[in-house]
Amino acid sequence: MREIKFAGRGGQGAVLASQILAAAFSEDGWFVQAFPSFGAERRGAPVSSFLRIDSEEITLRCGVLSPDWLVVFDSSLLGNPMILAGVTENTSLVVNGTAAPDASGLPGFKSLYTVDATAIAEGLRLKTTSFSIVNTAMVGAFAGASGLLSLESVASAVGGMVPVKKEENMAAAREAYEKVKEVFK
Amino acid sequence: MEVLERKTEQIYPGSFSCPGCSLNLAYRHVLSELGSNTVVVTSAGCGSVVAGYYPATTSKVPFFHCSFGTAAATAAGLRAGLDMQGRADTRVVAWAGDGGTFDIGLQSLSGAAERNDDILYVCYDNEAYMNTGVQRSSATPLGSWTTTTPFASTEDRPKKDMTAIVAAHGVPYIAAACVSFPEDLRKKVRTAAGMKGFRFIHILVPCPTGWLHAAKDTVKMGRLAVLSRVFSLYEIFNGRDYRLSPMGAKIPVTEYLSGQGRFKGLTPEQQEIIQRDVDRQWKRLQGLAGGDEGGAS
Amino acid sequence: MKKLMTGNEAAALAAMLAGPQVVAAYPITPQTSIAEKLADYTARGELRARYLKVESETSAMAACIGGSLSGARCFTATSSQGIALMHELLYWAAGARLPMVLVNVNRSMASPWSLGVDHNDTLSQRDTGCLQIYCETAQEVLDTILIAFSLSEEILLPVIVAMDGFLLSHYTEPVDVPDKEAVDRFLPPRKAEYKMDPEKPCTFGGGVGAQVLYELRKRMQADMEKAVAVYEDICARFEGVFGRRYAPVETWNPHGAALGIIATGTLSGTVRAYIKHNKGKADAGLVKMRLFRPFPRARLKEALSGFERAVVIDRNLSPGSGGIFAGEIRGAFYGDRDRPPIFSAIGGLGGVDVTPASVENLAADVSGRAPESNDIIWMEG
Repeated sequence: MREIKFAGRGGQGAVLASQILAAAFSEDGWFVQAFPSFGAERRGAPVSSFLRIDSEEITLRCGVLSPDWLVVFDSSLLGNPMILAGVTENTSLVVNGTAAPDASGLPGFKSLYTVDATAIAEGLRLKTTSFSIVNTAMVGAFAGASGLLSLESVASAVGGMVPVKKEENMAAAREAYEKVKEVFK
Repeated sequence: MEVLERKTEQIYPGSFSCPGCSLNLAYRHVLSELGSNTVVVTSAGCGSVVAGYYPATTSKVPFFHCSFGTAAATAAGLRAGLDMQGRADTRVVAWAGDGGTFDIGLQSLSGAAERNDDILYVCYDNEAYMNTGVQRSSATPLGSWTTTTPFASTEDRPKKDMTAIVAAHGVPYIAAACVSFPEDLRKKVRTAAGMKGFRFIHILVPCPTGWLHAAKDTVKMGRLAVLSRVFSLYEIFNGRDYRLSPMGAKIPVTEYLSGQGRFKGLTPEQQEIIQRDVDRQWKRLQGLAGGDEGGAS
Repeated sequence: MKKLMTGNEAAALAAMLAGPQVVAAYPITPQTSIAEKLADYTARGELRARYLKVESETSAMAACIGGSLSGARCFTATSSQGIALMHELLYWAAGARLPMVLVNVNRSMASPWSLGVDHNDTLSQRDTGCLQIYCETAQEVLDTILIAFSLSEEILLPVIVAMDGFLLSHYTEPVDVPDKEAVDRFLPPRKAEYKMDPEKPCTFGGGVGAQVLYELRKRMQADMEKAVAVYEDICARFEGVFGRRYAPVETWNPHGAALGIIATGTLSGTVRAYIKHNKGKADAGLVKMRLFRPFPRARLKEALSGFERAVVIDRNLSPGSGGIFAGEIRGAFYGDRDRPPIFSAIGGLGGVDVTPASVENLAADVSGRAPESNDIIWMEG
């Protein structure tokens, strides 16, 4: 079983990201379980969502305690202990950013990938008044970094689940899939 | 322009509201006018969540979270207990949303009003059950989208006339106010605070999250609501003497409706109905106020 | 057809498939997406029902009582404070022998406000005369609602279908969605024998003398006792149409462990995960209770007969007494010469996570406990 945590700000689409990947993995024959963080959520407040994937039925019902992957939509969240909760030396990180973030504040981790999802989203005009919509790029970046999903599976799931701007969102996922790079091991 | 006296805030910063939230702004104005010798009861809703999660609280004054339907009754009980202990000078405020006032809280509100319990009941009205994700309430206006009145079938009932219902109880003071007109709101709080018996202030608090407009436009939406007379400002004394508040020249409702995503589904026909209803209510209000125009702000 | 959905989406879908004619609901976290989804189905004509957007849960249940009295199939959904507001009327609906289905998304009761799951909300209704069935997965939620309509309309008592808030209502997982046509075969429209009909006028619920009330309660108990077998028959029919099997109590003991862990709701799934992956130390089997009212005494005892000792995990607390399931389970063995030691654990209140690690700690603790130990075991993480 693999456990993936997505961390963003309310309104950035972290929850939809876990849903899109759930759909992609499910299509590929995996068993999946996806859920958001709980509690009163407010626009702009940190929000997490989670995805479990396994080759057999997932019966476990509790929070994700130590994710295998942490996908961070906004590098400013790396300073937030709630976001980093559960990160161990077995966790790989995928972070939205232009350069390797200051890793000194981070606990031990297995590997770190970055992608400039904001630039990808803005290049494709994926924005609301408050945020660049980076979730579909981050979904692509996770797939590229982890190697767990093919580009086509991910793009197809994105296309099937985004409410608007299907082509742009699929393009964002594809571009991020190609551009995500490993910065630390 | 009148220079306002600087009053002490009765809330701490750091409330848990959405960007552009105006209910907390309204709360801040109301409480700073009332001062520190005040106790507050708030029922379920944004007002409760915004006040903070244990171990944090934004309230400087004593604050109780009560069940959804019981703000007025709880406040009435607090009042009674404080009076019996010689604390008649302590102000008791019920702070409840439209859901907790117009709907599930209506019974206990009616009881407190009918008994003329000496409490200040303040309803912050964002026109839906916002805290649980924007479901309709009886304060939701005609034609509005909510999650239980989706675009395929938007709200088909007009907004409940809450002040008329409270007025029918013959209470000493009722006011309709809007957070976008803070001087007017604060004046009404001062008026209410200077009286005894059941006092009711109905405050329109635009909500970007549920009304579907940009966070920066919250105050503007409130102004447009008042200027278009979708939400007029006035006072009612003893359930029958109406006095209009200064509002500024009337504008067409389309200026108000067009800025909000929740009204995106309105047909031109529905907009005409809304304009007609607004005009009729405004005329009626003017009649009740004895033809007083309300003047410019 | 397999689709990904949350427990709430499965509940709304099941309600839509069952074709209720009256739906009344009031929003409350974490039930809200059920109310919203039903509004959506109704707006788009997929659900042909009158949907009353009531002003409180008391009115939601009152509206279902009225709707059921007319002979219509009725549905509502709520949670914690909401089901508490329905309390008086649940007695009413059961006493009036009115079929309806109520989905309760379990959430702890205020004060203080808490959004996490525990079972005090539904368990506080255990004396009302309503049936209670607890679900572990979104598939079970969907299937149980369909079964519940059938059961309710046959037994003439309301059925409460319980699902854990957030852990089930908001978890997305694969669900096999039945065809509408197969559902219609399994669950034909309601045929009410007693209803408010000017063609056959009756008066319902007027004052009765003591002896009549006593008889009515005896009859309710007798019908409740029969309801276990009725539930099993309906589940057999369900299996025939849809291929999935359900029972009042389910046992899973792949390693032949001596210790049985009795759980309900999503806790069962975590216990399952523990059993599957535990490395042989503190081994256990699962006894999962679906039916709580009526209390399936015979089936429970059969399930426990394969274990030397058992521990009940109660995700609830009756303050001043202890775990509610534990009390009733132990009571079921009263008078038996041979009864296994049954320990009482309380965990997960307020939505505290119960993890495989905490299950392991519990199993290890209980395996070594003196059989007469009667203290509440408070589960730690």
